[in-house]
Amino acid sequence: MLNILAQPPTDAIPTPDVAWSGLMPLLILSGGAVLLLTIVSLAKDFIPRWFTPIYTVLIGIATGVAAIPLWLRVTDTPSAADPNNGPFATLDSSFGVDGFSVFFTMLFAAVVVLVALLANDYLRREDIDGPEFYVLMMLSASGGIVMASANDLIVMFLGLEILSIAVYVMAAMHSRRIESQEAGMKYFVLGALSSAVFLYGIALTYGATGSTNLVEIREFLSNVILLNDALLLAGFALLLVGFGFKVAAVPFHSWTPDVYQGAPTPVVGFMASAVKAAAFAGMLRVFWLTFGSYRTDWQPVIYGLAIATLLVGSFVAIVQTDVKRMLAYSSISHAGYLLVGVQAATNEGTATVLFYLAAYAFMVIGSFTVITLATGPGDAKTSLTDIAGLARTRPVLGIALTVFLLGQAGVPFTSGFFAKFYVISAAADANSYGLAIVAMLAAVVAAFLYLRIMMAIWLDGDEVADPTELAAAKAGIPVPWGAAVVLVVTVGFTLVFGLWPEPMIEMARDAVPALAIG
Amino acid sequence: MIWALLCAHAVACIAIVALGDRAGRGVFGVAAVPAAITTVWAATLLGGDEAPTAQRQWVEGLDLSFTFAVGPLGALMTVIVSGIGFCVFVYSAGYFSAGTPGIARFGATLLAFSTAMVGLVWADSIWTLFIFWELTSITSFLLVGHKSTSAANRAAARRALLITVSGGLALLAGFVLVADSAGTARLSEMGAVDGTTATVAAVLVMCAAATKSAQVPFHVWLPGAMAAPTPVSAYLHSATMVKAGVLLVALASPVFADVSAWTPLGVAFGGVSVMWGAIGALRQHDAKLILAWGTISQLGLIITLLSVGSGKATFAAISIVTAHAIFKAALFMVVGEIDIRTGTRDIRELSGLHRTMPLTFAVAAVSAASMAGVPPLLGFPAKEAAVEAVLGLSGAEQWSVGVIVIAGSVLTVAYTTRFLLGVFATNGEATEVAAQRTAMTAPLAVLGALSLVGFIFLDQVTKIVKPAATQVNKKSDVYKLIQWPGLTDAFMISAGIVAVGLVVGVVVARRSGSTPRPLGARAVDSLIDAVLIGATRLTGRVQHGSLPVYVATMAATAALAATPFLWAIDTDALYKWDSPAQAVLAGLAVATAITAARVGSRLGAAVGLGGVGLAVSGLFVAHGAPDLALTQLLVETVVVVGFVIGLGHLARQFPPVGDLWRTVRIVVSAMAGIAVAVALAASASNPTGQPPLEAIAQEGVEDGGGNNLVNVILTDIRALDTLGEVVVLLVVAVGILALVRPQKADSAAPALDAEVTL
Repeated sequence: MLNILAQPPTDAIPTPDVAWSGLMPLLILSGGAVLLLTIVSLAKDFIPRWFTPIYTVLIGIATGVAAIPLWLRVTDTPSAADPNNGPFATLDSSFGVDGFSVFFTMLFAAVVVLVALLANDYLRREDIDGPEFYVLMMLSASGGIVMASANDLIVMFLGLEILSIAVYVMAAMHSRRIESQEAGMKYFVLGALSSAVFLYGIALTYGATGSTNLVEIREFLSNVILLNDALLLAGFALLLVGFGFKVAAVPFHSWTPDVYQGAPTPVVGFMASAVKAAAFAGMLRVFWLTFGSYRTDWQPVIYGLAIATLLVGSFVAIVQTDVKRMLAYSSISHAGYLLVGVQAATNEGTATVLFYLAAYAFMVIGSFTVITLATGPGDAKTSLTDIAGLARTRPVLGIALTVFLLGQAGVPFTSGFFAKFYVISAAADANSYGLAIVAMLAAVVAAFLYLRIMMAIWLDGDEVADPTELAAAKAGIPVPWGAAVVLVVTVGFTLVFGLWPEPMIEMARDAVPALAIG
Repeated sequence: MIWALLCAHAVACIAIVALGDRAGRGVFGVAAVPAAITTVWAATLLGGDEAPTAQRQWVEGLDLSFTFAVGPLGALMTVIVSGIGFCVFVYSAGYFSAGTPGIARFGATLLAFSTAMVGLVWADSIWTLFIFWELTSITSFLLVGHKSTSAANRAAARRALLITVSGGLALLAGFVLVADSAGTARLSEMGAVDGTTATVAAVLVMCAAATKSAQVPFHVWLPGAMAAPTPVSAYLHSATMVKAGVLLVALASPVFADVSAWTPLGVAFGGVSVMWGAIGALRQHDAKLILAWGTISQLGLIITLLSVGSGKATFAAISIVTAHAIFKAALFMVVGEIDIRTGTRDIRELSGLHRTMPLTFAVAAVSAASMAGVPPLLGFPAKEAAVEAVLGLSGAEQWSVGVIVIAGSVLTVAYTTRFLLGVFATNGEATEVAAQRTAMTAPLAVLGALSLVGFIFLDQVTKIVKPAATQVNKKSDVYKLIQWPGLTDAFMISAGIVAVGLVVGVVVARRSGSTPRPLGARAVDSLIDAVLIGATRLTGRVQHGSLPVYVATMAATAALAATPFLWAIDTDALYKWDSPAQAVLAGLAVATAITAARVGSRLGAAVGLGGVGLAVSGLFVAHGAPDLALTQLLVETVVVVGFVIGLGHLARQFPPVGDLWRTVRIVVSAMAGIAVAVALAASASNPTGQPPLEAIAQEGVEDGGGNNLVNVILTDIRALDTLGEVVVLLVVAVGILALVRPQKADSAAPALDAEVTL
């Protein structure tokens, strides 16, 4: 072997072209994370403590900005002037750049910015400050981008691993709290199992189709009629188990309440928005885009998953007394809605999922921001009685939380209304009337959950009439500037797109996934 | 004009909020302005042919737009909503004292409700209708929960919101289905639909209407909502919000005319509500509750008549809607005034008010008589029309609707009598009465007089009602309201109703009666309880917090997913072994695996797992893949080292395990193992194309320049993935750093080696 290496290269081995422009957002985000790690380890003593969060926010913004020219390019149709417009793929067809992946890139960038702003004060308050959180979060989000862009099952798996491992650690990050450690442990063990199942699913799919590349798999499936498709179907099933775990679909949801309750609250915000979005991105890419010609085989399974997820998510949520647990179940029932959109297996259905994910990401980060502030040091006061009367002591937080809860309940004039409306119309268009009606039923039950939280913060709790006491209660819940920015952005997003959702819907429609060769 | 009016409402709302509590009762003056303008505008449309429309695209992509069309029915409803709204705003100025805290919030919410209601009656698109429908639910929740300090109010507000919001979502589901089968969202363009989808939609829409119009069994929120201040009850619970359901039935009945379930369902809801509401009204002692239960009954009558669908019945229904709005609002205001001036609403405590509050008594008597259907008041011709409508039916329909109308009317007369006697008659010592407030008395007197004026100018009323009824049902065009029908069958029946009702009413008036039975409320509450208990049990089942159980559930599900393989195994493609060495190694792997599972010490299990890995490496060698075996050996070594380091922090032995749980674990593990084995066998049975080995081997040696294929794959063929794995390693390294670092920084933290029980 050494001999071969020692020989001068006779003729260059053909290497695949790399379209660096398509990778730019990913490179900024992951490179930014590595750079941060390098900077803090070299110049640990010279770095002011505000540097890390600001740096992370800037990297997040840079990622989002870098995605804009890409978005304009891939959503445009090729013309004589710009023959390169339209979706393309790079790295030997294993990394796709299309409206879909760029949409998710921007979403992850936004999540990174928001969670970094929120985490800044949280980490200091909990005395667990350090650059690792930000590094892990950026790496995790870049894993999400890889998942949303993967044109190859192995690349998708890599994305899943990068995304997940970072989040396992983030969940366990509050190492003085035994609940946080337990959350990380549970998430890790179950997540590792689901990753193994997913990997096995990839192996089976490879066995059935002879490739791990999504483009080749799709061509194989539409050109070859399999006499015996058991292997392929089993591959579908195992891949679905892997995705089902990450999106918290019933019966793979069991980790969600425990992990959401135990993990540090900003991390939960990240999990509920970015991890869920990445998993749905992967699911849509693999199932709708690649296995589209076999949709009659997987649609019924997703139909069943959606119904179980909607019902369990909403019914179990209403008896919880811990706010974080309540929102964990609510995130399960939101996964049910998203599955309704996936199940439709239409372009419109895909657009509804994207819109829903974007709307939900902002609402859920906002909700967990309020909860981070209201539950006080140590994430200790998370029961419903602890936050009772919040709207009286801190009206602004109360109003913000109410907006998010109304949004999650799907009340008109919030982005959540359109999310639900859009998903249900997509299901009705796809003739899944039964599913649409179960979704409505679940919405009724879930509305009860949000109502309980709203009643608690507005109506319950001791009447604090004494102004000094009121001031004391207020002082107990400081609102740092970072969290204030997050709240303004998330409330704004929820209300603006609740009144004028057109641009967001247009974006979701333009963000169709494509399997390009390149 | 439509936009201008909606904007006027919004501006007034903002103005009230801006003014705040320091404006005192002036907020109601501000609120009354848009209501007055709207009333006058709608009044000019009454009876005319003009139907102003307005449209604004909201979300183009979803085909959502705000579409309004004020037809004859819309104009009539607008006059009711805004006209009574105006009266209520004036009345509120008298009801609240100047310094009431939160008066501005109340005024703004009441006006917001009024806006939502106006939008609802103008809506021409089902989406517009739905949005305003939900807005009325939310604003009414805020109004009912206004005095939020009492637990009863909160419970009532919660129940009201839960039922009406559920109804709203049923409506949305119904509308989605209707839009799908009708192909349009515009009510004015919608043709009749039929088929299964349409039937489901009809049921959903009818249920939604029943929740809003407080029909049995969804009626329970209405009596509870009486905790609200009386102006709210007068406005929401007599004249407007509860009429939204009626309006919905009216607008939907042409669409669902061909759906056979529509009429029976409506008659069932309506009929039961007519009876149960009237019986409820006979049981109550709170004057306001008597009226609330009476409303349930009256709305039931209207819904029955609307769902029957004959021209005369529709005409009668719209007439009753008009008459009911006038007399019921007046009666609620009467009760509110009595409440304010005497401090009670209990008919057992009130006495001698016909002497001390003569004007109020006069208004109450006129309005109550109108409710009972006595001439010369507006309620009479409306009730006559209903009886006529029954006579115009035939067969079973005539019987069922006839019983509902006649028995319901008898009971209505009875509870009306009881109400009047209970509130105003002398019953021991006369109740003390505070001074009159003009702002309260004036609107009350106006509404009271309207019942009489309406009867006198009955032809004008017909001109208003007829086009509205015709909009719902073309066949209503030929009917009119008649002041004096002569001694017809209908009149004789009406006379009989009043006579029998009076007798019943006088008899039950002074009976203290049994305590009111909150049968329905209890049913709903127990339904909620049942759901909660069920949910708790479900939680206990699926969410016990034990990690091994979660793992077992997931592994079992994943293993079951592999069952389809069983049919894919081709037994001909299977053979025992290439060389006996493989059998030995496989046996070794199995034996070490069983040992690892059975051994009690943790270290032993780790060593056992290492043994399995070694045996598998051996299998690779026997199969002719030493490079793969080498990689596997390296991995196994690292894992065993990791285990040994980790085990230092744990107890030596595994904790004991119960028999059942042990069995479950064995079964799940066996399932997972079998699933993997079966999958491998199946994939070996179904080769698709050539195995990739040859191609990779050639590529690896020629292009990659290496004979260790695993290495070439890692560093060359799939170099990108390796780069990705390096990133994964980086993440792991940072993660470990993150988890270990604070431990050192904070020595007070619980040490990791405290055993975490899972």
